[in-house]
This record gives sequence, C-alpha cells and structure tokens, in this order.
Amino acid sequence: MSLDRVTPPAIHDAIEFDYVLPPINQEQLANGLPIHWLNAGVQEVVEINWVFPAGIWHESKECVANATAGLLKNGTSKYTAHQINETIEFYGASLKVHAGNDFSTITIHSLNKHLPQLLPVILEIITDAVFPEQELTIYKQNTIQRLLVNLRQSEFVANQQIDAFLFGMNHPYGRYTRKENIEALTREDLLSFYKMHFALANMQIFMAGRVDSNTVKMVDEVFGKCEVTTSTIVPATFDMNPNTEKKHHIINDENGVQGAIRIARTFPNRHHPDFAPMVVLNTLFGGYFGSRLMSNIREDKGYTYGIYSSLSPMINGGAITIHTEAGRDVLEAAVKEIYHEMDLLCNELADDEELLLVKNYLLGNLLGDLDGPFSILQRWRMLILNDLDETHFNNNIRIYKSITVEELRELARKYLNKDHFYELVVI
Amino acid sequence: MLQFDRFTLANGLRVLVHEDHTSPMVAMNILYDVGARDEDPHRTGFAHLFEHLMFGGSVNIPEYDEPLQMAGGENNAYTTNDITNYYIQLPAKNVETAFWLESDRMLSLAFSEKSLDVQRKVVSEEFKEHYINKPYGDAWEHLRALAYKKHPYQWMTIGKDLKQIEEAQLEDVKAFFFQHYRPVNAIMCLAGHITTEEAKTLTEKWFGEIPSGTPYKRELPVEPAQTEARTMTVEADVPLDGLYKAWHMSGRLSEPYYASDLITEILGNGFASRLYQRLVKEKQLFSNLNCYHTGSLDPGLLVIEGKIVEGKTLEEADAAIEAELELLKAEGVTAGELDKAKNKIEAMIEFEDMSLLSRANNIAFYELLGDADRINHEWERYQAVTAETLQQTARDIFRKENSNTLFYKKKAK
Repeated sequence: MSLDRVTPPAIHDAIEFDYVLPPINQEQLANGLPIHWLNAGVQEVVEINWVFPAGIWHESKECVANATAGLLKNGTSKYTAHQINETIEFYGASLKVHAGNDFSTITIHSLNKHLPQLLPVILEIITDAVFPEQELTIYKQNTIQRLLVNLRQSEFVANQQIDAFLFGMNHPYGRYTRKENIEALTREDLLSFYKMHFALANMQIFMAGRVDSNTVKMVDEVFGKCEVTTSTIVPATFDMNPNTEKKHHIINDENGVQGAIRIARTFPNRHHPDFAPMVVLNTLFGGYFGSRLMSNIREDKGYTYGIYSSLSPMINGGAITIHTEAGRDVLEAAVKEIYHEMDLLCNELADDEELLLVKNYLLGNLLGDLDGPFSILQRWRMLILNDLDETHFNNNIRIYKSITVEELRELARKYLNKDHFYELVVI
Repeated sequence: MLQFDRFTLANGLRVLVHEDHTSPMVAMNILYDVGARDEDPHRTGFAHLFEHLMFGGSVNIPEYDEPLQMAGGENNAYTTNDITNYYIQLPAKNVETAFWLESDRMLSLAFSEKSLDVQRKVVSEEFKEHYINKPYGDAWEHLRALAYKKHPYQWMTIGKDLKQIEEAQLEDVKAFFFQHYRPVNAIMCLAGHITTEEAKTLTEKWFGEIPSGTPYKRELPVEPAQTEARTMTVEADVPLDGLYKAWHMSGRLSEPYYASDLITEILGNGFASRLYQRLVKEKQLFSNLNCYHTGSLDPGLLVIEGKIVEGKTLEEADAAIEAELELLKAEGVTAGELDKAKNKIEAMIEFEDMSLLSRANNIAFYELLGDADRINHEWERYQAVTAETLQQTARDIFRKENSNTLFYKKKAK
C-alpha cells in the first residue's frame, strides 16, 4: 500500500495541553535578602542573577547606568579588573553586568563545582567596586569608538530615533547615547549612582539549575552575613514628550543600498488587560516566521530578509514596533504593505484556522520553553520584577487558548490604527 | 556522556536517536553533507540559496512552515562552508508531522519558479544587510580571497557576489538537489521524548522509500602550503582603521585542532585573555579585539581582528600582535593559562548539552566527522593537550610565511 503523503498526520492541538509553570522557592537569607530559586535540568550548571533597581530609568545623568554596569567588575579596593576577570575566567564561568531600561542585572553562569570560589568575587564587586579612573578612561574611549561604528549603520540609527520619537529625548525610554554624554562621565557620577542603586537592601537574587538547599546555604554564607541598611529609592517620574511629526526620513549614508524601516507606537505594559491578547495578535501580525508581515513582505514579495513586529513592555510603559531592513528601491512599497496588513486586521476577521495555527505555535513553543531551568527562571524573574505571580501566567495561558477572531479584530482596531503610528525610514 | 542508538536504512540514510524522556519535546536534526565548499566557482552562494528553497514547498506539501506551526513546532536551518543543517523542535505528541514534512522534501522539492524568484531577492537583501550595507561588511570576503588561492573556502557562504545569486536557474536547483539531497548524503538525529523503536518505525515509514541517490564524492582542490606572507590594503568609508590577520591551521579532525582551539582561548577569549589585557587595556592600541578560528572541516583559519584606537597606527598595532605571538612561540603558556582554557571548554561543553536542539545537532555533526561517539571523547582530547604541544602548534601556525594580513583603512576625508 502506498503511503499517503498529501494528508497531514493527525496532530494534537497544543491548545489542549496543560501548561504548568514549575514552582519557584522564595526564601530569605539570614539578613533578610530575598532569594528566588528552582531546581531543574540534569546538567551540573547554575545561573544566578543579582537584580538592582539601577536601570536607565534611575540615572540622573545620561549614560551613567550603562557605564556603571560596564565598569562594575573593573576593580575593587582589593582587586584589579584583571584579577577579577582572571578569577571568573579561570573557573570557566561567564559574568555579565547589564543595564536595562528599568533594572541592572549581574548574571553568572558556572559549573556548580566552581560556585564556592566565585560567590565571594561577586559579593566583592557588589559591595566594594571602586571604578578606577584609568578604567573609566579606557571605557569612554572604546565606547565612543564602538558608537562611531554603530552610527554608520541605518539599523542602529533607526532603533535610536524611533524610541526618541515615541517617548521624547528627556524620557529614559526615549533618549539615546551621544558621544558628548559619554565624554562627560566622571568617576564621581558612577560612584554616587553605584552607592545609591546597588545597595544590598534593594537587591533580589534569582537562581536556577541543578541546585538544592545546599546551594542556597552556600549563597547564604556569602551574602547572608552582610549588613543590610535600609535604603529607599524614590522612583523618579518622567513626562513623555513624543515628537509632533509622525513621519520621518533620514539619510545616514548617501550610498546605502538598504533602508531601515521602523513603524511604532506606544503600548501598555504587562499589567494592562490588553497585553496578553496583544501577544496573540502580535504573533499573527509579525511575531513569527508565518506571520502576515513575513508572508507578504518577505515570502511573497522578497523585499527583505526579515520583518518582525515586537512588543517591548517596560515597568512604566512600552511600545509595539515593526522593524525591517529593505532594499532601497522597495522601501516605499514595503511601508505601504505594512500599513495594508494593519488595515486588513482592522477591517477583516482573521480565519479561524489561522488563529488556531497561531495559538498552537505560541503554546507549542511555550512547552519547549518550560523545559529548561534558565528559561523557567527568566519567566519567574519577569513576573516577580513586575509584581506579578503564577496566576498571571495561568491567566495568560487561558487567554492564549480562548481568544477569538472577533476579539482580535477589536484589538486591532484599538491598537493597529495606522494613524497612531510613527514612521521612520533611515537610509 | 550522551547516549544514543544508531541505525541505517536500506537507502543509506543514517539515523541516530538520543532518548531524553525528561523533555516533552522532540528535536529532529537533518544534516546534508554539502556546503559552500562544494559549489561551482561560477555559482557561489548556491548551497545557501538552496537552503532557502527547501522551505518553498515539496512535491506533496505546498507549504512547509504552516503545518509545522500548526503542530506547535518551530524550525530553522543554516548553511556553512561545510554543511547544510535543518532542524525542528516540536511537542513529542506531534512528532510524526516532522517525519512527514522532512521526508517529503527529501523525496523531492516542488521546484517552483515563484519560490526561486522570491528567494533570489530575499537572499540579495540578506547579502546587502550583512555584507554591503554594514561597515567592514566585506572584510571577510577579502580575507578569504587573500588566504585561499585554490580551496573553495576562498568564498563566503553567502557567495562571491550578488550577480551569481541573481543568475541562479531552476535547472541548477534541480541538479543540486538530486546530487546532494539524497538519503545517502544525509544524517538524521532525533533527540528527546521518543524511543529508538518509535524512531525506527517512523523513519522506515516516511523515509524508507526515498531513492538512495549516488554517494557524493568530494574532490576539492587542496590549498597548497603558503610560502610567503601576504598583505592587502583596502580603503573604505569606515570610522576606524581595522586590522584582520589570518593564519592557516589544521583541519577539524587533526590533533593540532584542539591545541589551536585552546590557543584562541588563551589569546583572545575573555577580558582576562592575553591580547585583551595587553593590547586593549595596557597599550590601548585596539578598542576591541577578537581571536577565534573558523572551525572548518578542511584546514581553516585562525584569526585575530580588531579596530584600532584613534591616533594609533595599523603598523604599530600589527607589530604589537606579532610581538605577542613571538612571545607565545618563545615562552609558551603557563600551567595556569592552560588550565583556564581547559576549564572554559569544560563549562562550554556542559552548557551546550542543556539544549535538546544543540545535542541533536552535535550528534549529527560528530557522526559526519566519522562517529557520533567522538562527541563523548572531545573533552579527553582537550585534556590531552600539554603546554609543549600547545607551544609547538603555536610555532607551526604563527609563521610569517603562513600569515595573511588585511589592513582595512578608513578613507582620508
């Protein structure tokens, strides 16, 4: 009997599966510092994050959050940058310090067996970083050079400008790095930001991997003994100051053979009831390879190597952005098609079959995501830092499973109205 | 230690199964033993363009992506100078969808004009985005052409130029498919929540009837030993001078490969590495600096590259690198440096094994190298490298007559 290769094999719809976020242990170290941890995976590895309210939102001078993060491990009163790096790298570990819009995070990845040697080094940089003048000088020089290279790229310029249009240059989510801001940084700027924002009192620890209560004990022995003095950070508030012009065209490189397109609007953060439904609509619109934007603009017309739309939720707001790089001669046509796809979603109901596909794709991927310790930790970190818990996760799953094409169209009418979007093309 | 079973179908398809029932997913990885090195010099970029066409529908299935996404799966593919690799991850309950899709495109593509027409444009945009519309984007094109005079590693995976991609015809596509995309030239690995028995049944069912194909006999020109130092200078509208240096090193299966890999760790990987500490931090000649190798199957390149700090010259930066290499050749490395490099490799192996896809990919790749079990002995091969063999390897590689230097100069305003 010959094999039927035309009819797809029967599938189980991913919307029928159960999705359980593995629980996280929430404890306190001896001095009261919170640690959130979970044991998962079979490899003898661990990831630990130390998270501080030290993102760009909290800086009072431009570029300070990034510079502080960049130089945190470049010297303490006991060790030079080289000695610190040498210790971390000798044990095959990786240590990253990242300043985001809202938080700064120190992340270590290591084999479990080396953790006892590494934890004291992390404590050292958190409590005793000195930001040597010489390190700052090198940082400034090399950061400016990297900026000069980046500024030649239309993609980079477009990413900078679109956020500035949405939020304004005086807003932490909108302003971008300029050479003169880096030049103006002083050691005192970094030290005062560090003292206020990297205070232990505001630190949260997240840990996952093949870990247990002994690992927690190990962390406690290093971090639980420190004295913690209460330090209150009064969160600053900022007014958005969006650009009055919605359409912008920038020539960054006369000879550019491509242009970067960014079409964006502000969009609420995870706390808003429209956020979870929007995850589904965004996936359908431009969030995966089979999306409307990709099918039309790449797979049918060949205008680009890739096109996506994405949500960027932050603590105090967020945005939805469509981004692509397209051939110089088809830029206008690509922009037109993006708007056309928005209109379609506002005017016509999606097909039930297409929505089912999006749901299955979204949930099938989530299943894979819930399979690794670090991706589970990432979900928990996101929930906890946003003051949310697993009911939020479960609620989102329920929405992903049950949302209808009618609800999607309503949502599109509310948020994919092209008149509300900023449009930027950078060549 | 990665456990796996292995079987071969009558048509020559090699299959490996790595059971991991802690995961609810299955990863399917299919590696085709063809890469950019197998291309006609007048049709470069073809293996990669072809990879795009593999998603343009097969003989019985008009759309590849949709049914997979409906089954909750995700997929992608990549092409290198050596291989072309396709992978899927999907919920184990729907694993048969992956068998159905992958076997149909191994049976035959749809060979649609529309797909070829669109993907030529898509790849042209990819070319522009990564290699033209980007400062220093063409550095590797120059570096490869400088270092390789005979071997097909002289061109990039994306191809020599846009024109050759634009000229690709459907006849070329068909010929390429029936030469390279046959069971006899493929290796499949299944990893995750699937048993070997299930894998056997499904593989027989879906792949068993695909005609075997003719084994591809690779006869690539061997790159002759380089006998004198080569330099090249290009000028472009970039903000900083850049320096790119490349030396020929041994192939993936040779013993010195492991010492070479450790050399790149010691020289340039991490903020505590030699070149970073001395040339970025102490001498401040470079604003960034990288040292790595191409990891290719045939003899590859060990590369040091970086951007020069404004006010410093390419010549002094180059001399400083040469001085560091002379020091390495003369004095070797300390026991501590060697341990550090090995510790990094040990951690890297453990972290790589966390992902199902990465395990599936690695098992298939090591089977291509001759035996999937080799993956379980990689760490021993690194451990076996001594300070003496490392120093000897450094002396073999960092010879003046083995060096290729590209001075990438900013145009004077």
